[in-house]
Amino acid sequence: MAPKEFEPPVHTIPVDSENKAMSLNIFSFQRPHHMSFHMSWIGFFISFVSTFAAAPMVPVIREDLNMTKPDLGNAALASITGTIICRVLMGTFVDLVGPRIGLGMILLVTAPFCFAMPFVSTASGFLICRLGIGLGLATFVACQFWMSVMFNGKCVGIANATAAGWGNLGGGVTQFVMPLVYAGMLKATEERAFTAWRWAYIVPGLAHLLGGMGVMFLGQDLPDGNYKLMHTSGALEKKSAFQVNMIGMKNYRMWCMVATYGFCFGVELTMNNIVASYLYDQFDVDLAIAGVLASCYGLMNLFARSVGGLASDWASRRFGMRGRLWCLWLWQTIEGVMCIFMALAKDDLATTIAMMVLFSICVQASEGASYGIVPYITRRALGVASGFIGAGGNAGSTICIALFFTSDSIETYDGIMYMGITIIAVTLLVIPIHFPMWGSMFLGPNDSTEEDYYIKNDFSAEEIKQGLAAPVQKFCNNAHMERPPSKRTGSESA
Amino acid sequence: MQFTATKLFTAFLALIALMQFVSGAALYSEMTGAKIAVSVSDVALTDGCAPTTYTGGASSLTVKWSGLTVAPAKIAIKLCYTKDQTVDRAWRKFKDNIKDNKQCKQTADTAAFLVEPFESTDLSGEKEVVIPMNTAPTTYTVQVLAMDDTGAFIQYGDSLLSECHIKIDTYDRLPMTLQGTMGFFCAFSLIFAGAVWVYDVKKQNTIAAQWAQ
Repeated sequence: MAPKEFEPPVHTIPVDSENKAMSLNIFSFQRPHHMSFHMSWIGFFISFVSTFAAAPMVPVIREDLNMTKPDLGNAALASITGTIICRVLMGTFVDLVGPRIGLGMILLVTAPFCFAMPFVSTASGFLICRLGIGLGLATFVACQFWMSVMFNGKCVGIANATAAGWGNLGGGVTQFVMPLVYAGMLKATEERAFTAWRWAYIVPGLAHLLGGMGVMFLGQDLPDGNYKLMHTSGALEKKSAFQVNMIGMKNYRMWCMVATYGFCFGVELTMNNIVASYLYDQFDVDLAIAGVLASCYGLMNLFARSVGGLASDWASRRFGMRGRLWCLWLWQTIEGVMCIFMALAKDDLATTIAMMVLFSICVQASEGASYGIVPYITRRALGVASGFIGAGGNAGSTICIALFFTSDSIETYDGIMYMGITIIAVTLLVIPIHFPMWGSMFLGPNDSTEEDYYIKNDFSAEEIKQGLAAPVQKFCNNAHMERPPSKRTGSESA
Repeated sequence: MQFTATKLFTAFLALIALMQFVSGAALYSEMTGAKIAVSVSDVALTDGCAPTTYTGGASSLTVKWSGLTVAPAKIAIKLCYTKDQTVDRAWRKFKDNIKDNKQCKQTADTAAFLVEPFESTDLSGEKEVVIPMNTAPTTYTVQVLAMDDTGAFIQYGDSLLSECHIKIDTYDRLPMTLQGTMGFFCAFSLIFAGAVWVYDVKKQNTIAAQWAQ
């Protein structure tokens, strides 16, 4: 008896041969593509809100718990370091179990840490709670993987960038929402500031519960169904955790991007942690005003990350993958320059804010441009690559905070300067990223190498014989779009 | 007419400068005269005294001062972190500018003064002060500043003997309602996560089994 063949569902929007959407409509809630888009960015948004909920309330919390600058620095470090391992694990998890469960469950299991935060009375307790809440940042990996499997090459850059950008928006929104929540709780507690900030944590906690539930019940892993059905039908390869990790880790391009992403997204995480208290301490502004001004940094995510993704997709249409690489290098180098300018403006608030906004736009555009490249590094171990690179973002923030913003002997504005110089230096690692069939920043493609060779190189000859590489054939065909225009054959789907 | 206006404006500026020079200081270092003697009730100015603990929002203390050499127009009182409590805390750093001195500013309440300048023309005095509710739980000294009628500072003093610093504890930050609410949600979220997982696994298995039939 012949094995039952899986018949993919009919989709109501234009899709390619892999049933991936060929365009993004942010106003649509069409299932599964656009509903999954909204669930992924909302879930990621919630994790950002909760991870940085403490930042605008630090001037109150540090008094309540009598903390030192190293205590605060260590707690900030913990909030973004703990998730390094979590992001790496999430990468493997989404490859094996799917992005819907990954994103949904991480929101649900980190909710208790939000509700536990009010009980802390020491710096250590504060650190542990921030570490636990920070694990939720692993939602990013699931979010990016999800968009990469739902949207095709024509719009994967903008889909990834918009979902992640709107998710990152949580870091900006929390800077002005949490002070408002705190102000409300202050009134409700008869001006007891040290109780009010604890009550304020109920908001991110409830958001975690609702968000997790929404993701689990409204999202779908893949265009054709959830992982369980895809595995059962044979439409999706059942992968080995060890194998996919080895595939990802052997690819040097992934490691280059781990470093470069560490100094765009890592810088954003760093700034989310320090900017409100920097404005408060340097310019003596009111706490609520410092929060509003600081929120300008994260609020650029509304459009800036999408701009980066859009620029990456545009550059790809004009120049292929080489365009995407140049796009990333340009945005991120300018980011470093703007960071230095912000540091130099330390004596003037208006100039600092102006430079901060420009800096933020470049940071987020760099992030968007980065995830225009990530889906092509490895197809078989896409989750692992997303996970490691996402973790690199957090590692970059850990390094920045530890080196520049923990010691009391380095002024914050000097730390920002040093960070800008480091950004420019690390961004040079985009140069060696070379795809044999598409080229790199300074080298052209190898004429004799095709996408099949590169993408199927992740499979052994035996596995190819067994047909395990069959599901990626359509991806290979569609990836011809990343060639320089003169080498495209026109056989790519739509 | 224009020449007269210019002369008047220049004279006005000169007068302002003169007033600044003769009337008082903006910096601690400019107040070179004798320090005011400051003491706090229940805190003896002798070595070896145990620190007294007060509770924010509930306790009051009596600040006494004497030794003013010039009759002031106003007296202001600040609460200053002890020096050890400013280490590794840039937001509590001492600054010579009196109004900007973060060592004597309470950031939870963004309060520059423990007691705002009040009228007092005596060379000594005392005032009962309620500790503000949101004062950080740590150790402090009390600083008294004398101001002239232009609002500039003319003399100051601190209750600086470290063994006699004031210790402030905070009110109960975790009322039962807060504990109960957060404790409930903590437990609920764990149970909820488990229930959602089990439900989803069953649902997906059912869908896959239906396809396979």
